[in-house]
Amino acid sequence: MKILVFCFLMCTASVIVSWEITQKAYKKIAVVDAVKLFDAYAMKNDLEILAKKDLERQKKQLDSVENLLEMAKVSRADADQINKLSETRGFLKRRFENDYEESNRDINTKVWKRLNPLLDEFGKENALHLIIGANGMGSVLYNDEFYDRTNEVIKFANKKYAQGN
Amino acid sequence: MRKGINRKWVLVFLLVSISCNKPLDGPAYIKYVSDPAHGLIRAIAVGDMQFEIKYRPHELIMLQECKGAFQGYPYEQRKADLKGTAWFSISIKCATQRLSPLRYGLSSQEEYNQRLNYYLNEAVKDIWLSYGDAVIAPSSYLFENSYNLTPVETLIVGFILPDDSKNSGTDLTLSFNERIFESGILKTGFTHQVLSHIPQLIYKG
Repeated sequence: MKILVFCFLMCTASVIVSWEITQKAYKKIAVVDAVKLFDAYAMKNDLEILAKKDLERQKKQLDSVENLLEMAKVSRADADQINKLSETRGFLKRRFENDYEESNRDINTKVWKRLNPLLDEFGKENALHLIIGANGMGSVLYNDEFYDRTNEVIKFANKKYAQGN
Repeated sequence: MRKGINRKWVLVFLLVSISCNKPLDGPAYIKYVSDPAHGLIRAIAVGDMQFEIKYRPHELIMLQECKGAFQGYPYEQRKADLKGTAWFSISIKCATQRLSPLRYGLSSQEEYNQRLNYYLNEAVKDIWLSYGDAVIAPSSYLFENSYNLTPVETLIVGFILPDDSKNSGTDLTLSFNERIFESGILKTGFTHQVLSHIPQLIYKG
């Protein structure tokens, strides 16, 4: 009887151990939501705050000129004045749109320049074989929470940024 | 018994604290602040560029000014001048090539001039210090141009800390929004614990 109980316990233990090993082996792959990571990275928000100051100033200038143009049209000012204001509005609008696009591109480049090596570091520290970027654009069609380590990566990246990396 | 153990630990802690803060002579002091393990030097690598941010204690500044010999140096006067200020250096070097970062990956002389102009005149606007609730702009800035003699360029930046007790004992965080190499914001935190553990300098005038 004792031998039977011993055998049963041994079998149960080996099943548990092999299950754990298998689970750990599966965990060598991680899925990270790239959009969520990008949006939650503290440096991205800091860069947006810095860019916003200049863009808001430009937007105020553009709004003022648009108001002046409207007033000139309503008061039937001479054509020269309306043309000048219209040209100024066109220039300010183009500049605002260009700067807005450039600032988005700039933030995107800088953020990924910092995140890519951090993802490498996270992968090495956690002995991962593969990190798959899920971004809702077709690369990963579905994943449940089993492989999802987005929140862990966000915490890792923001901690590194705050400490100086 | 429990009280006895607690007292023993307090005594050990005090002894360790005292030994950590024991005054050092010039060479030992420089060795202490230059050791990255003491938390006054931080390195950040972004792409091919390596940034090294150093906190520069007043004693280190004075040691460098008098070149290690305090005889005739107005130590107390200088110490009083520097009181209430915080100083940092930011060194930039290229990890892949032994050339000045100003010359790294250049496409034209104009680009070199733009970089030089940025570091001489513009970079100061992209540096700030967070000290408790306060965000402080630099009060002093210097770009140490190496003229391509060494592959490292250094920015020296100083801040006047607000004179209020609300922020005293809080951490210092230096931020640099680097624009030439698209590195983003380089943030470096120096905790109050690290700063308060800097040993005293033995001064022999």
